[in-house]
Amino acid sequence: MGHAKSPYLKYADPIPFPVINRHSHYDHLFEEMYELEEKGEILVYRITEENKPVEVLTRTGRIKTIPTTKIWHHKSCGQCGNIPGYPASVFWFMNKFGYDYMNEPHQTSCTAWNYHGSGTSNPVALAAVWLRNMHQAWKTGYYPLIHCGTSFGSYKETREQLIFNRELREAVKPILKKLGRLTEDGRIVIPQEIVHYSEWVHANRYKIKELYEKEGKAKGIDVSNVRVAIHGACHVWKMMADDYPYDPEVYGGQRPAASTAVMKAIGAQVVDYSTWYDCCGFGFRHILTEREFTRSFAIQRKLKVIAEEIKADVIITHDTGCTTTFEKNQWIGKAHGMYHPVAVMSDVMFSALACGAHPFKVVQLYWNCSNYEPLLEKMGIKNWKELKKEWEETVKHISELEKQGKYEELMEFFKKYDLYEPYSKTSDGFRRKRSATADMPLFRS
Amino acid sequence: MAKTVLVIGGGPAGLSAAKTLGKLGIPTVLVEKENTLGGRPILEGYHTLIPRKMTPSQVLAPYIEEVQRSSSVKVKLNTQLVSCEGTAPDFKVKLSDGEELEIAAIIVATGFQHFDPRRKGELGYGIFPDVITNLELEQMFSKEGRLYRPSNGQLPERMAFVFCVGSRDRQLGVTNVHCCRYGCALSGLQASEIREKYPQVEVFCYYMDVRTYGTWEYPFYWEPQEKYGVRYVRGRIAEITYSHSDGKLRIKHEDTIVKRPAEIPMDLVVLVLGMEPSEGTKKIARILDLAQDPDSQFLIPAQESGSNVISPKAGVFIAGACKGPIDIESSLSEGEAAAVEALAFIGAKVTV
Repeated sequence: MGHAKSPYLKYADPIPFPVINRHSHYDHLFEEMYELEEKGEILVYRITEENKPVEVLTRTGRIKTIPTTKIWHHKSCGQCGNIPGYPASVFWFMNKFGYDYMNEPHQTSCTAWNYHGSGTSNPVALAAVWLRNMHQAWKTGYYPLIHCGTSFGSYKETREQLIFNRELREAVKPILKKLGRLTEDGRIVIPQEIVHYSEWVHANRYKIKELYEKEGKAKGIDVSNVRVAIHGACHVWKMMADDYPYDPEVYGGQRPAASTAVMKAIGAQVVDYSTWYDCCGFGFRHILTEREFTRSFAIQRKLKVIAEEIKADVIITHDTGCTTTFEKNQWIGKAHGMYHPVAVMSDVMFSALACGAHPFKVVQLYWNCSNYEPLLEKMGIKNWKELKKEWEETVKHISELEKQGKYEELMEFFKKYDLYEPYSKTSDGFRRKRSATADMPLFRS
Repeated sequence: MAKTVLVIGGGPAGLSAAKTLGKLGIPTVLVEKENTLGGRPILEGYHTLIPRKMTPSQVLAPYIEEVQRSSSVKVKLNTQLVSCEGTAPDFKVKLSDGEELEIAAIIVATGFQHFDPRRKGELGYGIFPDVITNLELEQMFSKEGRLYRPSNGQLPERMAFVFCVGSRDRQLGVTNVHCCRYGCALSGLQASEIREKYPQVEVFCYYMDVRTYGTWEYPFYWEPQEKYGVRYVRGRIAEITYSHSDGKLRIKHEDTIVKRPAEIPMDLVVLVLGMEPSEGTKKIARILDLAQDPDSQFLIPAQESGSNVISPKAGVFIAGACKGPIDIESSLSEGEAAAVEALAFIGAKVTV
């Protein structure tokens, strides 16, 4: 506590924050949700013991249940398109921990691009898309984990609108009925909790620490000297700040705990900076409509401050838009003589590197345009050049196999890596993905 | 048939109700969960009360003394209501000390609690020592009689009041959209006191709009500016950070009059806290099954009664800050009003 640091002000000694189970409006939302279920309007898709849940504290003191296994992956358009090492790192950890999951091919975009930027959608459509995806997850019996911050923010906000507005429920029901996305007795399926991948990482931070101690350190990796700047994403927590993990050990429970807590768990140096609360510059529609604003904000308010004020080695993010904004604007800044080099990656990517994941085959840093090499050196991944070469040779090998049409061999080859595979791993073992793309010859396009 | 009135809460409203009932000779039991009467102003060491600029003991001591002196009022400190069965005028209540009473009417005066500014992490309370609450400023005045920066004990050169922390804030959800009613006026008073005692300290008030109700407009809005030189800036503070370069805080806001963002160094920042129903109020609402505002959770009176102190439940009356932000003067008046309503209620059933 700040006041505890003061030799002068010694007044009330506050109880730790967040205050556990303090009644808040968020409890009210959940009460309403269960009332709607009792009335037979909705079905609450519950997290069960099968999901091996972990409890975390939210800002209002509500206990949020985070499933760790039997996970349905709701992936991110931007991550899969621009930062594939991001979801790959999530899968890598899931495989390492032996968790059961479904890499669902039948998921749609949340359509909340830029978080409803300038009327790209409307509440009914957004609710329909969310509920359609949740219904799909419910059908499979796997619990949804939302990779994208924009989807996560949109879904949380849409949930609040849906639960408190009968009009919206009435408008969305006929659409879902037409799509066959209601339960047999005509109910809407709403998950008990909307869970972001960063919450999953947070819930697994001690397991990550164990893996780091066991496998990362064995490879000579040491993150204790790495200076980390945390950037919390607007879409992930700032817009709906109450429903996100907070921990008395992280800034007195006043700033979101996810991402910061995992960095602390593995022993990296989390360094505070004066513009921590500012947006990355991506904004809600700025990236589309006022791109120069995005650029100047990202460079002047964040990258420059982080580089000059605290000399961070890496910016840790937990969302798609922030990661790309910090990344691409370094390249743009370089072109304009405003270059503030600093590595950028998500909490899960950094954690995977720390635990010994391959920087190129798993974390896929070759997609990054920020200056990640000095970070790898500092982390003790001194052989990154050889690893890069190894990856290049692997790509060559894959290409050769593909040219020769040896797809079965390709599949076997992929099995060797703890990578995102053309298979779904289920409780019954491996299952080949049933999607249009999965059945296509790999890498042909 | 019971004739006793139970008053729950020994703050301004409860004291005032008990005092009125005592004066009229009505058997009254006043329960207070703390070990002292007086409520927040006494328990938390307020320095000066608005609007009369008197100390809490100047205002409340006469009430406390009269209640304690009254032969018909029994004061039970460190005591809470545990359960209540039956209906008025035959309530059977159980207290935390095990005592069971037959009660004809109940006055609920369980009050409020201050907003916990840690819910607004971007304001840095508890992270930066020089971000304090207006309650802590009151305590600085009343306990130590001087103004200082908690980081170094020095007098600040420049300080700011941040209005509406936990009030009128939809970002916090539906619970904190109400106005606290006292914040603008108290800040005007505190800022004036500081400027009077330390004319060298620059004082800024950051506001959305200033709500100094009724006759409070001159003493707590114009006077701070015209007589004491307090500077009012229209703009909600977005975030408070700290700069290592000069060891000062930075407050960030958009000045909505000059229409530009600004970042100002400050030595001390005072957060003007909103009001929420106390845990006791929420608990009593559950025990007595009282109507609550679905958003703020404050107690609400029976709409059809037209009164501010009659609850929808027969024989239960509500007074003071348990039903929403209110100043101390009005709390005292509501205590009196609730006492008279309770009296009328039991008067219709029993001979007093």
